[in-house]
Amino acid sequence: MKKTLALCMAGLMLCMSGCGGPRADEAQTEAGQKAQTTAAEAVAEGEQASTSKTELLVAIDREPQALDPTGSNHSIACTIVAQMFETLLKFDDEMNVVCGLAESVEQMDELTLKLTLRKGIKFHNGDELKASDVIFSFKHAAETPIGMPYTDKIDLDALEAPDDYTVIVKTKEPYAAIRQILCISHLSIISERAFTEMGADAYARSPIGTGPFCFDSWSAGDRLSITRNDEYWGDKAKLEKVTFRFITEQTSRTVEVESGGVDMALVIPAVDYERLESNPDLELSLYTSLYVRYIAFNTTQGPLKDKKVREALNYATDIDTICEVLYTSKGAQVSTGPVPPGLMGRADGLEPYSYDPEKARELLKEAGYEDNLEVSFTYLGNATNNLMAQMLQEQWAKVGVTLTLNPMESGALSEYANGMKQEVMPVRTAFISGDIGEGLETMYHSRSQGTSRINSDNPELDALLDEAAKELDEEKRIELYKKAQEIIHEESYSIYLCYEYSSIAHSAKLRGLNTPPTERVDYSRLYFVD
Amino acid sequence: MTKYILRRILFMIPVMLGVSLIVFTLMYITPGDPAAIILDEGATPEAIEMLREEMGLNDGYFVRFGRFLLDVVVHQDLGVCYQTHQPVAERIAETFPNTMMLAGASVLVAVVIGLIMGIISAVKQYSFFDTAAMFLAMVGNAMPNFWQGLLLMLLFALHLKWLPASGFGSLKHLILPAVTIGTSSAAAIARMTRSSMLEVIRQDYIVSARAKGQSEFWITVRHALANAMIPVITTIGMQFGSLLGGAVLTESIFAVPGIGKMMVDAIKARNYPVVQGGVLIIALTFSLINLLVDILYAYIDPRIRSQYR
Repeated sequence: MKKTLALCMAGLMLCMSGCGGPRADEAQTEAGQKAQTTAAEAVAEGEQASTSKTELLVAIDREPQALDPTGSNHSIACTIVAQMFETLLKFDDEMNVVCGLAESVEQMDELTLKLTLRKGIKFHNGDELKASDVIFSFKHAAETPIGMPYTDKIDLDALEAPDDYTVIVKTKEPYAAIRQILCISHLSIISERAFTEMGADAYARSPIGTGPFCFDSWSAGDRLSITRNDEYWGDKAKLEKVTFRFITEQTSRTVEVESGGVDMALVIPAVDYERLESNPDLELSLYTSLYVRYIAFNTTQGPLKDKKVREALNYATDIDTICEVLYTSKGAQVSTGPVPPGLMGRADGLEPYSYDPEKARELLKEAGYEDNLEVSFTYLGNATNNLMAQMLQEQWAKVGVTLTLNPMESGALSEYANGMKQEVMPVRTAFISGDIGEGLETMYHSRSQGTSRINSDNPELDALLDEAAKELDEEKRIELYKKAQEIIHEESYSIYLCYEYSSIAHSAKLRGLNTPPTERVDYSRLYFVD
Repeated sequence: MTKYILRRILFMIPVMLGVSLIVFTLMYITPGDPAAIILDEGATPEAIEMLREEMGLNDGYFVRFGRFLLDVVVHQDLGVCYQTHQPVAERIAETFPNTMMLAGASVLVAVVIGLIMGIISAVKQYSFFDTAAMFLAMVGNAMPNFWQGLLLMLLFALHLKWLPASGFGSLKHLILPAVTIGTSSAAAIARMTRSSMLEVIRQDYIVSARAKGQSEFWITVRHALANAMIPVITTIGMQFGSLLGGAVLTESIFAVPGIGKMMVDAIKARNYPVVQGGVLIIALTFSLINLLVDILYAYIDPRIRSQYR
């Protein structure tokens, strides 16, 4: 499947004349492949033909704010949205870009993409998907604060629909990651007619998309259900209904999945891993996500402006111990760089800062601090962070650094940090678009000051990131990003902690779970066996 | 009596106004930006600014408070939830009945256990039962609800599998949270009943009742309990009133979609309209329950009735 789709996949080469030409046989091969998979699935289904359970109950950790694709930035909300809505292009399980609602994509020139929509795709209200819906969706996203960051590279005035099934997307300047951006759930295609008739608020409460599931019901504070879309154009969902229950207490989620109250629970606390794994009725999936955890140095604040101080604090920190205690070796993988594994363009050979208090002392002395450096640690006051704060305090005290603790409540913290007032702060960031450039930019570009917790202002790095974003030659682009990562590493902007695993505990009778780093589980593939 | 009730209801207006002013001011001075929270990490400053403008957060204190008052008083509109874009009144209408049901069931558990324990303890003062009951009451009072809830959940949902672990909707779902809250309220009621009964039992009219040969059961129920009821009813009313404000921790643990959980989530998210609307409703019910308790006094005690004018 991967090979076929790779044809249609938007490789990043400038001349993609291939994609336009062999569209016909590409479609054929794909149809052939589909027939094969269906056959294979039919065999697989033989084993569970007798299963009667077609409803899945999932315990999730928070209630979505809204089900409009641009209604929320939270992972679980985006995942639920992705069951009901689709994007023009999408990621496969290995993070390759493949076709979604578009059956082909063609690079016309360095600014222009021509996307051809599949014909006969129906929204849940029966309307056919047209190019005008695509244009409406992008313009709508651009008007919302959540969708805006993903449309700012697209030239909205130049969006064009020459016919009902063709969309021309132009970027304001050459933009290499445009295909990845088109995979983001925020740019899912919404129904223009339904949205205009219902109004934004009603649409966000009972959305209408094209995906394998339709919205069913939502009882605030309690649960949300989606049902199978029997008119779906692709492989239809195997489950008839999926219900998400909002259980904020993590212990309660674990107990629910253990007692069989739900079939699946997301975001499992690390302390429960062992117990769940030893339970024969359950399976625990831990998989690499796009989340990185690090301790950010705010480079606009006092002593942290000095690279030597930042380096010294890196040498003064015993990362392995902190990660083992806080996240356990099962819950995360100790970081070796700023970018999570699996992303294209990730630099692999960065020399890690070892735990070396002696060297830290030396560096501090060079920077003019001998037992008199005092920095503050600002963090969300929860159990994990409290422990991290204590460990850092103790480790840094050994090199003569006094760490004052400044725990805050979440609402106050975001305002404080957006104002760049913090010094040292633990951060968790996702490379949410699946593109290395987008992630590095939000973390390290001077444009992101106020949003990133590092607030770096490094012209050399900015130039590299800007150049890479425009570079359409994949190899050159990767080269540029590797260089950028070397600078980031060398500048010691943060202490890398770990790449976080995402966790799902589920009934051993549940099959078909995919666990992509984006956390967008495809519920249409799940089914039960007896 | 009617006049008294009317006067009490009129008094609620300044109370409500005061509550609104305090809540609004507290939320206003609490650091935190709802727009930044909605957009979450990675939001650009422009996006935050755009949303703040849209939500009217850039206006001053008086403009915003005035707008809130105007909406509530003139348009009878509590505003729209920042997070879900539902009208706040609708959210309260969805969550409040659940909290009512949970509070009702909890108080029922509390009253049944508390009264029985309290009465027997008083009648059999210093007996083994009395000591045991008062010890249990102390444990019930001291044990944090979230811990007791988890223990009950582990026992009855995970090991015995008799009851569902969390959720809401059927009687089965109601049992664990109601018992969790009910037992700690029962402790307060039991202690109050015991001490109030002990006071009454030593009165002369109890001795007279015994002298005229009435059965011990009737003495306890008609003479002792009826006269000991006033402080007990106050305790029950207070418990019920505060439960209607939502049993936050218990609701969170058992995933009960109640007003307490809604309020905590709203406070964390700086969801001003929901916090303000929710507090108003909670304050209103609390005042109404207080009034109800006062009316109940009159019903139980003729001496108090004669004072109400």
